Amino acid sequence: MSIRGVLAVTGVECTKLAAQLKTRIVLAACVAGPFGFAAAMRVQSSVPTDTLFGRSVKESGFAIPLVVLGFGALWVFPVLASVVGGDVFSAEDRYGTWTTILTRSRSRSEVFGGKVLTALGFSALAVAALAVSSVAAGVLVVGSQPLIGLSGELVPPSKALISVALAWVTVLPPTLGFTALAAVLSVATRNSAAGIGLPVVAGLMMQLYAFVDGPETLRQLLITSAFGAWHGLLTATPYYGPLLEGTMVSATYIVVCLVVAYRMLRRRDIGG
Amino acid sequence: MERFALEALGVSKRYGRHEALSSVDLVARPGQLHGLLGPNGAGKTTLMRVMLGLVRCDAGAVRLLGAGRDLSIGRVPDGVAGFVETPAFYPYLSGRKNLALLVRLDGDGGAGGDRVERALEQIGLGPQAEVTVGSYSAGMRQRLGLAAALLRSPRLLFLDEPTSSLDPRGARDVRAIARRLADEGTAVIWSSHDMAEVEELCDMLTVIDRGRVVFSGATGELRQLAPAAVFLLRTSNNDAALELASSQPGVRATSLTDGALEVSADIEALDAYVVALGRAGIAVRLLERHQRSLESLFLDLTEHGAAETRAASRGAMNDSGPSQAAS
Amino acid sequence: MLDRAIGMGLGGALAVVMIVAVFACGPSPVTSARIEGAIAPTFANLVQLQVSQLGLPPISASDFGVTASCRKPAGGASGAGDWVCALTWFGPQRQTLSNTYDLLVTTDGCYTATVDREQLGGPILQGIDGSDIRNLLYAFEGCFDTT
Repeated sequence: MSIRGVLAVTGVECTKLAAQLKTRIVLAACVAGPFGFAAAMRVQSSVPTDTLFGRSVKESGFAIPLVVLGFGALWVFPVLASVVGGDVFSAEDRYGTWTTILTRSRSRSEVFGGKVLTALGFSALAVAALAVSSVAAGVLVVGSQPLIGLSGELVPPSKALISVALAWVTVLPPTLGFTALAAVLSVATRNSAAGIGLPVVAGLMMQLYAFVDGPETLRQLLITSAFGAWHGLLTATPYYGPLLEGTMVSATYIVVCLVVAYRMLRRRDIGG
Repeated sequence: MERFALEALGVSKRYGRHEALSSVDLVARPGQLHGLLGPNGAGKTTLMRVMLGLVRCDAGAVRLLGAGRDLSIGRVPDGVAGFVETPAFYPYLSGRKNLALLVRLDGDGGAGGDRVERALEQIGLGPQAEVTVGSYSAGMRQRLGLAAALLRSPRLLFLDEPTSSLDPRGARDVRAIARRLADEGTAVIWSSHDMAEVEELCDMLTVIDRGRVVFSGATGELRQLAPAAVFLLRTSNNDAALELASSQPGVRATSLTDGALEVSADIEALDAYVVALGRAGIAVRLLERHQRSLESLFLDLTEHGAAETRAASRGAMNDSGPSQAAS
Repeated sequence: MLDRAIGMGLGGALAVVMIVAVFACGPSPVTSARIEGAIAPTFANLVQLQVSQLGLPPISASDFGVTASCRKPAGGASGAGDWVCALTWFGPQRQTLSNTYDLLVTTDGCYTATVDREQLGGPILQGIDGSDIRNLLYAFEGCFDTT
């Protein structure tokens, strides 16, 4: 297995992605969605009080990306993570093209590596697009006023921007964790509907657990807990405990899922 | 140049209780057009999948172009190409774009464009190459599959029923390509259930039935063992005619599914048989030359018994390497 | 063979994790101490902010001397859900003030506090220049560390 080989496969997968309608739709939604939301907040009189920073959406543009962040954890991030990750392997089963790509000069390891890299890259790109777009939407539609933080303190615009950007970065590990989960389901079920749908369902169920006062350790082991780790960045004295935990849990999910997926693919008999 | 382009020895594969391949040997030299003949479900496609690294065999060794295959690496060596069953491509991309992607997978991004054009020219897809593969017919996909294989400038080429969806002209073109490649030194493994096509096209033959090799050797040997042309006979009493044939010297008859008989005999034995039928009160309703069926071929091969096939293969050994005796 | 070793290692690790997760007992990290430690300074900061928004003479948050006392109306010392906090502080004229808030605390350590009765004005206040200003103390939110 060589890096050059993996990159060759990544290039091919990206070309295929670029030719598909769904990638363009998803990325377009990531860019347009926050603007629609910001416009709605500007126009309507009531504000979302059930999400953190919802009360502040009319007062500071920096609240918009944080509300999107809070709302996104429920199903948006799992969907963004799975839409490519859950299809990248099972698409070959759907089209019958495993034979076609495995009879070239790339080993199964390189094909696996390239597809995983593509899936992770797309998830990161979608999150980044959503982040940039929400910040832009907030600042352009509402303004760059100082933000009231989670300790009641007033955060100046420059610091607010940095905190918001960092908050979005912390959401990458769990999103990539969902991508890895979607990938292993895609390999195991050979079915894109399962590869995309099951992680989203799993995410919803994990989020439901947040409402239950069950064992704390179990809650920490759920990858969705990592979606809320950014709260500690918006307090007067920041705390990083949940962030550290969340990143470690996400890393574990990524490693475990990818190792399992790799083994399954390596040992599979194609056709026959 | 390697002595053998392909050496598959003792390949066995079992799926659950079904033994798909049972100690199969297949050996081909460079420049040989080697036919792999057998009915559907005999294991031809499974064997090709094993050789291309798509399926792991339970036992046996495969060497492509002199290099032993490590299946876990799963990389098809340079100079080896092929397709199994109807080739599949990405339906949302054009034929040309599909080939361009495959060239990139082969690690040839820069010079790729020329290769693609040359391959498309060879298989004659023309302006259809711009259309998305989703709208291709099976025949067009087969041509594209051949083009995809030709991209790799193969010295060992596996073709799985490459003319099954083509019209006669297309089939003729593909046969010409295979012939030309073989003349240029490429070993071509051509699998088919069409005996006439394979016997006409290939120099060497391996016949497979239910996962076992029943014949391996030169086409000429097979013709000697089991002539290709037979007669189709319909009578007023097919069962009695079959029984009568067994007592006629030089006449071998097998019953076909629709009740008619397939008779293998030289012209004198046939004449004597027809006369005997008349004397026995069995009327001949139809007698014509007929392309023999695979079933009767296998019956012949196994009936002939080990002795004869072994003799034939000893002769073939000088030419093709080890072969499997029928059981 | 390496395959099998990896497989067994993974299976074992996952089993251990699951067992630990299910059986790890321990009180919830949502305790009165943590909530009080979060809500008191938040309230103080918000009063300071509100004062400046209303155009009144600025007072620093530390001058308020806010203390909080929180309990679960359903009983128990810890856990997410409904909480009631009584906040005691010194007003601008050094008078002792007390406000009660109803809290909804989530398992990940965030709370939404809504004032008990129509204390401290309603949801909207009037600034010095007559404009409408959101009453920051009517309902507010915050988070604390649960690790």
